[in-house]
Formats: sequence, C-alpha cells, structure tokens
Amino acid sequence: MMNRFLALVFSSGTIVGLSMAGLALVTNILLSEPVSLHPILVWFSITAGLYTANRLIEGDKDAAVDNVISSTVAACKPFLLVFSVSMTLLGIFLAFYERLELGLLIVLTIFYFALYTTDLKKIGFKKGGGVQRITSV
Amino acid sequence: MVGIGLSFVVLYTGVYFQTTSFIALTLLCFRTILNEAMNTIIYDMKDLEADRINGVNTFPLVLGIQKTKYFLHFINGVVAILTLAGFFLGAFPPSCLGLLISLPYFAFLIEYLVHEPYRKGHLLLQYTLLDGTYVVMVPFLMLLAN
Repeated sequence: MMNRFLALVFSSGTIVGLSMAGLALVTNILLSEPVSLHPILVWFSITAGLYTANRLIEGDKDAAVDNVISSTVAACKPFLLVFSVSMTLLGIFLAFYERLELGLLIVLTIFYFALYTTDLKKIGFKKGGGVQRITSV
Repeated sequence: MVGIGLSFVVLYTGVYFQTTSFIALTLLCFRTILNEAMNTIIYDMKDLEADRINGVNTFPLVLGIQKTKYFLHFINGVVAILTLAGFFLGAFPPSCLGLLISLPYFAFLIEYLVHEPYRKGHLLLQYTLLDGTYVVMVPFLMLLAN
C-alpha cells in the first residue's frame, strides 16, 4: 500500500517539481537576493505538471520494461491527467499574475518541452510519406 | 535538450529579480544544462533495456556503459569547475561551495546506481536520487549561506 502511494508520488513528477523548486532557490541564493517564494512556487507547479504529462505520454514506452512507476501511471491515468493540467495552469497563472514577461517565459518553456517531447522526425517522415503517395498517384 | 529546458528555471529567477549579474546567470545556466544532461544520461543507463526494445539511440547504447561512465565523470568535473569559477570570479557568494556536494553525489550515481542490484531492487531510491537532485543540494547550500 505504502509502495503504491510512493509510486503515485514519483509518477506524478512531484519529486522533480520539488527539485526544480530547489534549483530556483539555489539561483535565488547565488544571485544574493532575499529569498522569494514566487519562483519556487511557479517552478514547483510547472515542472510537476509537465513531468506528469511527460510520464503519461511516455508511459506506454516505459511499460516495455515492467516497473512499479509505469504500472502506476497506467492505473492512475485520469488522476494524473487532472493533476498535470491543474499544476501547469497554476504555474502559468502565477507567472502571468506577477509580470507579463515572466508569463511569456513560462509559455516559451512549455512550448520548448512540447517540441522536445513530440517526435519531430516521426512527424516529418509521415508528412514526407504523404507527399510521396500524392505524387505517385 | 532537457538541460536547456530546465535552465529556464535559472533564467526565470534571474528575470524575476531583474539581476544584472550576467556572469553568475550564464555560469548557472551552463551548470544546470550539464547537470541535467548528466542526470538524463544516468537515467538512460538505468533504462538500457527499455531503450534497446524501443530502438532509442542513447549514449550508453551507442558508446557502451564504460565509456559513458568516463564521459559522465568528465561532465561532473566540468560542473564542479564552473561552480569554482563562479566563486573565484566573485560572481557567486561563498555559499556556492555547498554545490560542490554534486561531485561525490554524481560520482556515486554514476558508479553505483546503475549496478545490477540497484537497478533491480531500489527503484524508488533511484527515482529519489535522480529526480530530487536539488532537494539534496539545497540544505548544503543553505547551511553555508547561514
């Protein structure tokens, strides 16, 4: 039971979220500024949300090797989907609420990760194949 | 690629504080990119079987485990050098030396985490150590900052 709960925590990307909140705090301290909760909260929500989405997308691929995380992702898909969307939206809201350029930076980050996660080569080949079929007709 | 994405955390925090310390920001960005690249490659070493089945060309599959380990130790050294450079250039405060904990930390991950007994039996430990890198580092930094 405990393992199942822990597996849910790990598959939800919460640990990655905490780690990136830690990175925001590290940056904050190294820039010698007073510690602010804002970047910590934004990056916790954004990375937890995006990594949950990533685990959902990559879930089938990871299931090729049996492990407790990938089986938890498969079992709790609806919960993880809601968690992912709400955390990402929370992060976007917090960033835009603070300043416009911060919100735009977050949108840029999400766009970057979306491009990275999507298999561009595969899409390119699919399009290429389509063109070939049309010309052969 | 993941490292570049996560270096946005550093950029964002810099923009938030409207910092003028561009040397500190640049060094931190590079440090983050290399740190996260290391993290991703260690994940790839752990997920060797899944990547082989899916036909994903990762560093450990192309270079082999041993060469990948040497490569990772090299990156780990560069990450430590970047931290020290920031300190000696005066871009980082002395508390940055707490980040040097990444040297033994990643050396442990590179050498022991991908070993067979760990791969099979310590899944949650692996995920904690790999996903939560900065959760481990922050206390060391804060200890020196105070």
